[in-house]
Amino acid sequence: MEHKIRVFSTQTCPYCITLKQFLKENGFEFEDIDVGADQETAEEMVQKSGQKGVPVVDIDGEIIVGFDREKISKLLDIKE
Amino acid sequence: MLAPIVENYLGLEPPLAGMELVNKMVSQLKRNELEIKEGVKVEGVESDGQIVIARNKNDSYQAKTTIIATGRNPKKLGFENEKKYLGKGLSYCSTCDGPLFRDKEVAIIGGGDSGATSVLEMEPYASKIYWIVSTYRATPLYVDKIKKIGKVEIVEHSRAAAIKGNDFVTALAVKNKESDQEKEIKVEGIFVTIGSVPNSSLVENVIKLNEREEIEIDSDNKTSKENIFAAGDVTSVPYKQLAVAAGEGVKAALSVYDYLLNRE
Repeated sequence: MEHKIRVFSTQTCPYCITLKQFLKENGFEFEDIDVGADQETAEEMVQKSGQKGVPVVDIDGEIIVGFDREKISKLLDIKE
Repeated sequence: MLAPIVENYLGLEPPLAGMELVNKMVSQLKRNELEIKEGVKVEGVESDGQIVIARNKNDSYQAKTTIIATGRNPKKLGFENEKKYLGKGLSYCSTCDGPLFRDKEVAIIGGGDSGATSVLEMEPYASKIYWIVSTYRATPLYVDKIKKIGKVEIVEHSRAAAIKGNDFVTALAVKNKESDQEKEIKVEGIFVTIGSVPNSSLVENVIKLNEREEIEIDSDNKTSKENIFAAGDVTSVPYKQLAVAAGEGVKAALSVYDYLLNRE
């Protein structure tokens, strides 16, 4: 099943790097949005997630705050 | 892992970000065919002196021995509304969240090196930085550098008194410990960098901890339980630095090797 994945992150955030690595290692493509560089997408992230921390990942419209491995694996059907 | 740059680990030239160094370490371990169980949160540890069991909600793992190397977590302010504002303007990681506060006014609490490096990290982003310092513990070189930055206002002899806000942080109240006067600083971001606490709750009823809740170890990294060893920042080792933790990990591994060879 195809998923639409958008990752809101900053360039310096270690958890963001780990999350993106996790997605790549499991073969998932995603839109990589640097909210540190783009004020508009930063505001979009705050509106969607209700908070100002990164990473935030949008999987098919479902918002996950932080690298919640269990929740992300469940949504993407990743078996570990 | 959170360090924006690691400059005090011998041989790392040019310096690397903490995360980059972690990735290299993991690659090396995987190349040596060590099985790494990623994403497993151990919730309990028990030992009868012969077998150690580590549990999480789905699984348990048994072994003859274990090394606890759980490190430390950021120290919290201890305010009632602290959890409410986490991610709503309050952060313990300027490396992670700093860029989100571009052109905003922020406060950084903590007069040590973590606080000082957070101030320096935030300089490219924030429009104004209030550095809340109760006592200067930071490296003087950092303090001198910070004093030259025009957008930084150092609030000396002061502690955080309260976090104010509605849905998001709007201000930080600070108290001067000498005059006892309190004032409110309007900010949209607060970074808490007041030190760290050992991540030892997992074993607090299993092995001996010191008064700082660190795992007590001897020179061979043995704990109070025969088949449990510990290494790094979670232990009573006096210096909490990366190079020290790495060396302690090696010592613990060698001690475990000796223990297993000599065990009946």
